[in-house]
Amino acid sequence: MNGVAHAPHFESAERQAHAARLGMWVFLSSELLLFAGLFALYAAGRVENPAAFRAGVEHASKTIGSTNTAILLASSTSVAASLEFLQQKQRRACVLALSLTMLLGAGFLALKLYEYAGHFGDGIFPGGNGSYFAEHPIHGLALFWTLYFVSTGLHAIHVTVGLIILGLSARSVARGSIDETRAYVLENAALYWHLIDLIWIFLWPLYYLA
Amino acid sequence: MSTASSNPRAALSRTLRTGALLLVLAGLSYGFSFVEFGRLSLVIALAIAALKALLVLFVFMQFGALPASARLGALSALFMLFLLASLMAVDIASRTAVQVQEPAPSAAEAQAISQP
Repeated sequence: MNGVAHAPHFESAERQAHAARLGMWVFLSSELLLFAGLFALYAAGRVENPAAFRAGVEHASKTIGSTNTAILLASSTSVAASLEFLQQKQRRACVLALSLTMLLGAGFLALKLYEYAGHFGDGIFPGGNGSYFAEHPIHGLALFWTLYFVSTGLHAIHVTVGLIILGLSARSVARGSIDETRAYVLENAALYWHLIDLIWIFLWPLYYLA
Repeated sequence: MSTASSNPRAALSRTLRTGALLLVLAGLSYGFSFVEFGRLSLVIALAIAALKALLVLFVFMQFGALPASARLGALSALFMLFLLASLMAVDIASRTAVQVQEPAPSAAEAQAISQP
């Protein structure tokens, strides 16, 4: 990376790349802890209300949740491939892979909105509001659905932010401001997307499968 | 995260193979969700999820190739996670059911209740 442009407060481009990677991992760690609190609440809630959580999982749409899992796993693969393309100096292929990733991410969000609309139609709203809870007076059911909306909603916000970051990255790659010498910028965007995938990998079994 | 590979085709192939493996594991989780394993259902689903997470972490995010400082940052978060999980487990395990008794009414309240 010697000879590559870098910010004046860095000794070299290598130092800049290292700082960017370190900063990104610290940020990802804080994001992990944010979701960890929600996972901890889920665990405590499930131990206290096993029947209600079982009923909640049975009502959740397994088909939509599983389709979204496949979509996110495929998108994680395509974003990893985009980085490989950038390092091989194949900018066009990189942009295509990023576009595919964004398409998959948008598909994920569309399915999530469709799923939410279904829940609202069934009378399920956050906070235990809605006719569903009057028809199913199971202690703890409101907690399950509130956690479901908070966890998946927060995740969906992250997907939205990820899409914006990937879009900006794709534009920069297309314009040439991100190339193989500044691949760490795309690496960080890809890391964020992988984190989104990692979180969903655990949300899926907890809220849809078992 | 990613380092320039000496064999670009091999790196891309590894990425695609990992993606395929992730989808196979997801299919396995989906299939198992229709089989009744009782309490083990959640354990099995989470075990497969952990396997997928490790694949993403080590192949896609290249955690193993990180500089020590970045790895330390990530591991400190895992340590915090461990603290959170263990303290929560201790809390749940040490909870006991408490029966709350209504306080006895005072003489004036008892008189008010007894009056029609």
